[in-house]
Amino acid sequence: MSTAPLYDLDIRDQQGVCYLQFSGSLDFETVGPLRERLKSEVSDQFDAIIVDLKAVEFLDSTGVGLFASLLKKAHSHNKEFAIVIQNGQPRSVFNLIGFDDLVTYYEDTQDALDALASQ
Amino acid sequence: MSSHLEKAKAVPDPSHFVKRRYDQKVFEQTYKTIDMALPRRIREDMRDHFQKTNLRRTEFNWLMLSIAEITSNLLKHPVVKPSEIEIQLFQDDYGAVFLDIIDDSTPFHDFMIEREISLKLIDQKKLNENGRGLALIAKTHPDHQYTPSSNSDDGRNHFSLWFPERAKRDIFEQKPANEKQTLKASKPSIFVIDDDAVIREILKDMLANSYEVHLFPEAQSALDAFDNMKPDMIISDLVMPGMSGSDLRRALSQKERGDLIPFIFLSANERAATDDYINQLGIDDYLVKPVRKEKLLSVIERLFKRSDQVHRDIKGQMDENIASVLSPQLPSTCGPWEFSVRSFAAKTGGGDFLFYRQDHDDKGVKGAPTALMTMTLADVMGHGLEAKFFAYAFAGYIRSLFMLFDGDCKMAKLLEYLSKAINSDPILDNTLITLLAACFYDNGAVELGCAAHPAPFRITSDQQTHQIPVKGPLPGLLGIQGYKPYDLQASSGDLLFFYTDGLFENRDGRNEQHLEKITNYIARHNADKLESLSDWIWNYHQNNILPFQHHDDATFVLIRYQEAGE
Repeated sequence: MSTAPLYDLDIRDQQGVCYLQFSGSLDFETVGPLRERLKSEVSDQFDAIIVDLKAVEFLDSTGVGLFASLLKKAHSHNKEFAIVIQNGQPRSVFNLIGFDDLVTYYEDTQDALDALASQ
Repeated sequence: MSSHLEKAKAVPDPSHFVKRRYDQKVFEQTYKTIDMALPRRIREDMRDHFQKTNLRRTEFNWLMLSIAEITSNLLKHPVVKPSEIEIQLFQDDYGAVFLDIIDDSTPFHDFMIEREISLKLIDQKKLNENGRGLALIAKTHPDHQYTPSSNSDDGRNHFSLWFPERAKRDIFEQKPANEKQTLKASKPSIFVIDDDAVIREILKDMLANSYEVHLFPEAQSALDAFDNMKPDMIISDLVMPGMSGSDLRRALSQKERGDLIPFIFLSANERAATDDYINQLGIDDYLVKPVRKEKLLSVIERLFKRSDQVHRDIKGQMDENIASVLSPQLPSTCGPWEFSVRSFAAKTGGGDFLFYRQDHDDKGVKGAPTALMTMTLADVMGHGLEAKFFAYAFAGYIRSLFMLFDGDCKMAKLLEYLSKAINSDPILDNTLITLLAACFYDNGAVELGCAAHPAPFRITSDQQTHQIPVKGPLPGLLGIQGYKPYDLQASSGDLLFFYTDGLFENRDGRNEQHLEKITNYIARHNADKLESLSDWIWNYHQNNILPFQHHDDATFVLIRYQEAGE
């Protein structure tokens, strides 16, 4: 019997932007390995980071912590940071914790790319 | 036979809980493999039990989040990790939930201090990772309690939370008539009234394990205490000095909920049970002294079960009636107009309603636009269960006026007509209601009238958003008002967005932002299917607004004008 992976992370260079596409659960169990991958595979060479959470099903405070670290890192290097997210549990968690005041949400990736290109 | 007490959830620290009977066990599982995958395993196990709860999906998601946060903390922080974690989930007849997470790790003695610090850090946007989880629990489930093992009955730590909190979940207010409105002990309470002190003490001994027993030596003092203490059952001697048991029963009938309280007569006189006047009093059972303990407990249990069933039946019937009458409906199309409606009906508070009638009013003038449909969206304001019943009744009244109104589809006249009716009827004089009336014509024209209702939006095909400047006073406020009609000429592809206050009014203070996000979304996606747009708005409301909302109905209508052939 095959089961869906607990999580996945696709890291791409998209028009000079570091595009991170997450899926599955971002929680206590999965954030550790994800953090290691980000540390080893995401360089400082990009102008901006787009985090795509459209396929994330569950996010807890550990997952929020992962993005808080990414956001801090982006700000400390003067990089733009955008989140592609739709209605659902992860967005509700972000809103509850006040994350929506710190980052800009986009409904789809192209909107985020367009917005970053115009800045 | 299990007693109410045995079925009740024993709460670890009674002094801190709004005590209720959570007598349905939805989930119970003990986990002995304590590893990083535990929060996920619990989530997966509980996911299958969602259907057993009466929770909304969003509420269930919040519950899963709190469980994940609590169990993650138990894995991360205690000096001595737990050897097992037990999860128990209970609910009551109305879907209110009590969650208990029990563990045997070294307790968090500074839990409440850390929680407060976490909330402050979150408010200041200082995102400390450890504290974020506690803040999430505190924000999603304000009613929670951590009881360290040193203070609990079973020597284990309990992290308990219970919800819906009253402001968030209106159904919570809808209690059975025999349940106290104030702090209530977990045991059902019984008044025992007998002038014989020995009988009183014997009955107390029989009942005290299972019930909260209040003894009264005479009927008048029990009657005086009834309103404040609101017992769940009364057991009374029949013959007593002063007020008799039958007098007490009659007096209770005059009180609110008095007729619904299960009532048992006790008497040494076996023949009295057959007396007609006793039978006409509406008593539930009659026991002859001396009564055996088993017999007494059996009768009490049976009466409680029957009483619960009666309340459930009444409640179910009322819910069904309210839902069917107030459920807003519109045709999906009418000529060049397309309609989509979504509505959430809270169980208490005021009510939204939406009526329409299809018109064929061409006034006989050749070439004149034809009125196709008239629609009224209304919001009756109020709080509590009574307001819901009132809205139910009021909806029928307004519907009759609306259907009978013959004003050539003039919306201002319709509002004046309703305003006059409300003002002239003393029963309706204190009613707070807002109305938006619209008449749709075959050429894209719309005539609007507004009585203190939120102004609707027009979103044009070139993505411009305008709030339509239609306004007017509350109906009935000053009698006949001069409502001004607002005439709008829609272009093909235009969208109109009508809504009631409940869609946006919430406690996070971001009503304007939510409104802006929704109207901007409609503008950006104005060519999408109407139902898809409605689904998006509805999902947005469910995820971002409803969890922070006071109980209120929420309704919106999306309307598109599309010229034939386009």
